Amino acid sequence: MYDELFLKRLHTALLAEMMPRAVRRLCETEGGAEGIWEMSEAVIGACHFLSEEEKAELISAKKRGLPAETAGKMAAGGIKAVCIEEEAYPERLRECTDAPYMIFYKGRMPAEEEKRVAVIGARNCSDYGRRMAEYFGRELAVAGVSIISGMARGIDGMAQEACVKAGGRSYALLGSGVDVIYPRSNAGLYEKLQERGGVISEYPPGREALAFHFPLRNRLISAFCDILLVVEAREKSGTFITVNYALEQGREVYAVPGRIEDKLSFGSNRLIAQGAGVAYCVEELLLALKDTERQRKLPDVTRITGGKPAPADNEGWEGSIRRGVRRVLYDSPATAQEIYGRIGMPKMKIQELLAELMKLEIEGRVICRAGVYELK
Amino acid sequence: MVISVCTGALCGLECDLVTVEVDISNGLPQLDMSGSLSQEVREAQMRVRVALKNAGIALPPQRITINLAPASLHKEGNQYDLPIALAMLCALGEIEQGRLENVFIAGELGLDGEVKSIRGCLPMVLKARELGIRECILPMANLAEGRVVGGMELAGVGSLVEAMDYLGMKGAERQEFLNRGENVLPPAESGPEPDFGDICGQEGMKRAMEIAAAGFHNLILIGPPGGGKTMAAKRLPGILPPITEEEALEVSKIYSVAGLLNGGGLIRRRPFVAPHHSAMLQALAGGGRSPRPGLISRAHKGVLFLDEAVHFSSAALEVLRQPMEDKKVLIARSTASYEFPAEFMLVAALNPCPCGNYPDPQRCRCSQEQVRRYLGRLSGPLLDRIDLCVEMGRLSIKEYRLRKPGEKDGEYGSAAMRERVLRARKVQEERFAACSISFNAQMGVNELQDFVRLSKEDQEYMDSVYESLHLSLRSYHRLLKVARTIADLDGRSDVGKEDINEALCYRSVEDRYWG
Repeated sequence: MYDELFLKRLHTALLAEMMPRAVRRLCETEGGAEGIWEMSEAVIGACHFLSEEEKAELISAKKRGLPAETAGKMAAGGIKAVCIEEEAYPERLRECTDAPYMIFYKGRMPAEEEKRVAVIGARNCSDYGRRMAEYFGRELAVAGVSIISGMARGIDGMAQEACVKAGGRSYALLGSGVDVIYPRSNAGLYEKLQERGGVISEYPPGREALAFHFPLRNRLISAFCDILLVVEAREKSGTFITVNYALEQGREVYAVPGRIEDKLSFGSNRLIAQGAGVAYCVEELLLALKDTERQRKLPDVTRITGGKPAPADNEGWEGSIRRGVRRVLYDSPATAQEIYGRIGMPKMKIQELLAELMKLEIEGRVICRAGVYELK
Repeated sequence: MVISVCTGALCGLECDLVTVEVDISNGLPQLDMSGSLSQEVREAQMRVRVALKNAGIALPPQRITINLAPASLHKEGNQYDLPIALAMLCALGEIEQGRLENVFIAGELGLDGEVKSIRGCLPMVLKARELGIRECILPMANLAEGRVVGGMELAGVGSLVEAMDYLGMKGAERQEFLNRGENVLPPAESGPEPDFGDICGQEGMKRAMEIAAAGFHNLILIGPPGGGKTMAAKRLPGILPPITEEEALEVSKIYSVAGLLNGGGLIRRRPFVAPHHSAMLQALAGGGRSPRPGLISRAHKGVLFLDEAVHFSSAALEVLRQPMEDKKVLIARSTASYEFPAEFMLVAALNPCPCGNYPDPQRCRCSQEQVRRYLGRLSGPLLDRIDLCVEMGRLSIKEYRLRKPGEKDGEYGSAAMRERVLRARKVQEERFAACSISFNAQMGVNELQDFVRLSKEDQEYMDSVYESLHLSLRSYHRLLKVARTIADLDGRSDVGKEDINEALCYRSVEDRYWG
């Protein structure tokens, strides 16, 4: 019922998960999945570059037969796959030295001509990081650039969310099978990505998100993109694994500058010092992508600040308390107590401030996350 | 002939009448005790015999039988020594016949004849009064406790000889003995209360404390380590409304049965109980073979403060659920079930995450999952009962330096806060005069309908809030209760929009952290 060639390729892909190097070599010597499937036990035994374990695995895998069950699961879950032997295999990936034999995806794969930027950064990002991820995600989407990322919590998910929301295309590279949603909190994004792009993984369906998968997954993020953009990274961060892969694969690396007192920006600022591009506005990235339409325009600062109320826009901010709240929150988010301390109105009672904050929250002018207020 | 004397057995917070019967008759010299006795009661015969000998009274070589009636009641405790000794003395003719009728006696004896303090003296004297007995002989150490009950003749005795002397007294001499120690002041209460003025800044927390104290609302404090959560909680008793006579008697009974009155009389301030987070379930709920009140009962009408609340074992936290619902702890034993009141105000302090710095991304490295799991150790049903939640931020050194001298007299010094709490308390007293409740936090749905009337406009506002913030019906009710207390504190007769807005700021953790 399945294409036998596909089953043989899937069989090879499952082998490649366990012994990627051996399979790469076998592909060269045997000429691909069909050749590998047809290897007899004697031929396998005589193969000098295989270790004893690899030989045993090859033989037992052959005895198990073709993986019709996995193929059935894929068909039922709407999971598609593309193999390195096929034309459709992404060119950017084929160039890598350790390209996976087969990649699985739901939704679709990015088209070759699609420009892509990978946006990555800290999971525990700051509010600044969140805003920047949203800004780049949104603006790149508007400019027709796709966003590649890892669907992780924090910067990754935020950028993809903003991109999809702005009507752009976004692709997530997962550290698990494409039918496993990790983290669970991004389940909503996972659904949206299938409609507006795809979720992609080198792991066969059903594989759990294991810690050692993620560094390997990072090489695919950099392989899939044209430009790698680091939004926020600490001094030591998993982000640098991706950066190193990107440099190896010849991708351009950009970093969003941050305040130097901000630990979360230390890594990205250091990247700039080491020669990464400075992503001070989206136009800079578009220029690098040779987007001729927008590169001539001057950077639009109001787009970077995400349409935050400019000081002149006073609608809804009447009254001294409200103005004080905006003044305090304009610099950085703060708890009610911090606002009370910084607002400089000693005669005001705390309850007046609390009531006003609540009104602002209900009106949608500020939002409160775990007790910390920020401007919307 | 048989001599009988009244004494009491503790059963939970109540006392049952026990009659000590002594018979001395001819026969082989022997001392027998009967009446379903526990080990410590059985040992009384040895203490009594030696104490009598040391008081200069030799037991005759006769057969002595002691019975504690009713035999169906299992007897425990140390209060039976003195009644047994006095009944034997009466049987021996050392005390006038009939002198011990209608006298309630309780006390433990030492070998030298010293009368030692007992547990649960207060409920015993209350029981005596209920039975129409006016005269009691008690250990000197428990006299102040017994005097809480008015209209009684209480003789505090320090030794067996003194008790015999007293029983021989008449007229003015006896009256003088009864008045003994009447003017002695109770032991001084420990120093002045710590003041909220000692804490600089943190007005938000102080305001929430004030609301909690005024309406008896349960409260959660969330903040980084070293932010002053414990410091704040320790200052809470200082602003609580004073305890009423009726409440004081109830609380004193609990402390009497727990053996914690330490020679003092009525407890005149609201208890503040802060168990360590390693506290076991039995220590919290109460227990033992003959159950004694646990820590949560000792917080009755006062504050139960759980510092580092998430570090309490989940079993210990779950045990709080029933008391928070029913305002009492029920302990069942094969022989009987015991009921200890436990109506307390829960104040829990906790860090927002394992490292304590969430949501500051500069300092917190906990994952979202860790934060969720950390706070998740407090179960939903427990959180459901918490009306107020305050986050306490880290104080900047600038704020600390800006601290004005003499803040104790300021708006958020304990004196000013207590005054406002008292005012709100008075309003509630009038409001609930016809109801069985006394605080806003205790209002049910019916009371909310009666006492929290919103104008049409505010009602619409409330509805929109309910929708836009995705409140549950329960948090909606909580909100109304807190808004009621805020209005009371600020002297407004009707709950208005500003009260609702402020109350919303204290809405509970699950709405904000897990929402």
